[in-house]
Amino acid sequence: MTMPLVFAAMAGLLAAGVPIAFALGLASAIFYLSVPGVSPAFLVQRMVASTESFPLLAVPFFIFAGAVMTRGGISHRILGLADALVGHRIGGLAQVNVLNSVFIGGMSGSGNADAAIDAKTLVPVMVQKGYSKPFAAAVTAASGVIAPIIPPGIGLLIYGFIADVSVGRLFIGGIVPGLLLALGLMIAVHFVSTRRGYGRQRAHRAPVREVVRHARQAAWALFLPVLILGGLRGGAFTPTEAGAVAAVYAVIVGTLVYREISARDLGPIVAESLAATAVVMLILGAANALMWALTWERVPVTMARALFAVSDNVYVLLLLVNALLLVLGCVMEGTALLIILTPILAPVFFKLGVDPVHFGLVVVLNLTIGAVTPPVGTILYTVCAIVGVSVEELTRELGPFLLALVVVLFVVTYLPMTVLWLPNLVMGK
Amino acid sequence: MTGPGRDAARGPARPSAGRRIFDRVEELIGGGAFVAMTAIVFVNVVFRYVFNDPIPGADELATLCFTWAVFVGAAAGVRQRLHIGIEFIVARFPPRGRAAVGLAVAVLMAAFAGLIGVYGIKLMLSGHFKRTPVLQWPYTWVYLAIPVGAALMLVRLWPIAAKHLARLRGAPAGGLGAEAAKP
Repeated sequence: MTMPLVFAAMAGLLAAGVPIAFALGLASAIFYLSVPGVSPAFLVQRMVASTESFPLLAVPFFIFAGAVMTRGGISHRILGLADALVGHRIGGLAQVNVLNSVFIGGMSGSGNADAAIDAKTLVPVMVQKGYSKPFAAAVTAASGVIAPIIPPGIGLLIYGFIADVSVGRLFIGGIVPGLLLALGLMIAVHFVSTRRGYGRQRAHRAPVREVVRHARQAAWALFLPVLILGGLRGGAFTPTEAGAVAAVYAVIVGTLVYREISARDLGPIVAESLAATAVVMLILGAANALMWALTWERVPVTMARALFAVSDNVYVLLLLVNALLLVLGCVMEGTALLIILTPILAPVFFKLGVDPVHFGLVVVLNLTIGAVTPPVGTILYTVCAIVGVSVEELTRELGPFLLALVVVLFVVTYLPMTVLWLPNLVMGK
Repeated sequence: MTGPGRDAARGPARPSAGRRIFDRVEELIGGGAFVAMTAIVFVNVVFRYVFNDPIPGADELATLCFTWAVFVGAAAGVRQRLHIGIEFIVARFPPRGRAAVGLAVAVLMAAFAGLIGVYGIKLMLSGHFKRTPVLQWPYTWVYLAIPVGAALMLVRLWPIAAKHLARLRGAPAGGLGAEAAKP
């Protein structure tokens, strides 16, 4: 009888606007306070357990490295390269917006961070050049989905921790899906821009020499994902160590190589990363406490049985998961869903022979798309707040981009090779 | 909606040194822990590769800092209103309704902070007998972060609750629109 009450309380608290971490914590407190033999001390212990984990320490490191690398001066170099590569295409600046997210994704593991950069730097230029503001905002939000999939990615890191899957493989497995997302969005941009008459940013393709010049300027920044993946592949670093190395590398490149960041800038970057880390980790901890309550009440077993009752065909069940996560992703925050659903779903699919790395990419991509779909989407909120458009205005322009994202999701779900080919090639079977 | 903007709106008078430290206490403690854990893990990698000799207990010390960064940072998140929630429903309410719900939300958040604070203290006391594997430190030092973070959250929730209460009582509404926008 307790669990329906917990779920009802959670729904009510979330609807009232209680922040997600607090709503999850308060709802699970009902369980911890009312069930005999369980103490709220367990709740606090479950929450603190996620911060006592060495693997999850990688989360703040990658957040910090991303925050340093995407500062003004550095992000302009990357933007220059993106412009040289695709600025000559129809809908030039929108294409640049998408490609820029691929590059930013190599430095930052968060869709919010990427969307915030494009919203601040690119959207004003786009509007000035005649793009409609909601369209520019929609491209920015949709391309925010790329960053968490291109390594490093916070969601993949957390999945790897919960499902006990190699983070190196997950990261490398994200490269092809990330590029497919970019391709899909660029096609969508092409169609919409052709219809609206959004022009090219430059009349001709940039000469090779100019592309090389921009690439060399951005090289130090673009080397970061190479450093991370190289270290993980060779087994030189654990993911946490790779995060710390990335953080220090970012500071050195920002202060000494590019000289875009002074020692005084580091304080605010640390403060910003601290708060961002705390927000994610508090949700993670509260979801962890809720998960423990669910396990106590045997909810995962019941749900797994219900899933098997529908079908035991892998493809049918994957479709079901796609649909379930897309719907849940619309109304709930991704990290919380990842923590709660991974332990429930992963064993079912592993048993059916789905590769753990493949499944991880499917789940994380699915939930990241949820971050741009209304009514609840963190990337959506970020872009709306910065650009100054309403959620409704942005949503009206989202259609073609959402379609592109979902098509790629299905490609990635039903062609496991798109995920597995590269890690198997680089790291062996 | 970050801190500096709001603080600057308070008035032209430069706040006292004590006040400035109080306004930024989470960044001082949590930021210190954040920098420390990054440095510890990085230096440990260097020691392992360059000197072939990892530092004993480095991982333990880093995760201790992590716990402090998260719980103290959570209070910074409350002050800067960064903890994400669903707002599109309440945003449709009339101003007084919004103030009422806002007050209720602040009270509920305080209730949760109080709960983890109280049980955090219990964990802290029992943690006295539990030692970390390498450094043999009592867990008290890890769990102390929970009541400290919870207390700071309560401190930061107070002005938020007070503002909603004032609005509910019919004080002139200001900056309601600005408040709805969150990064």
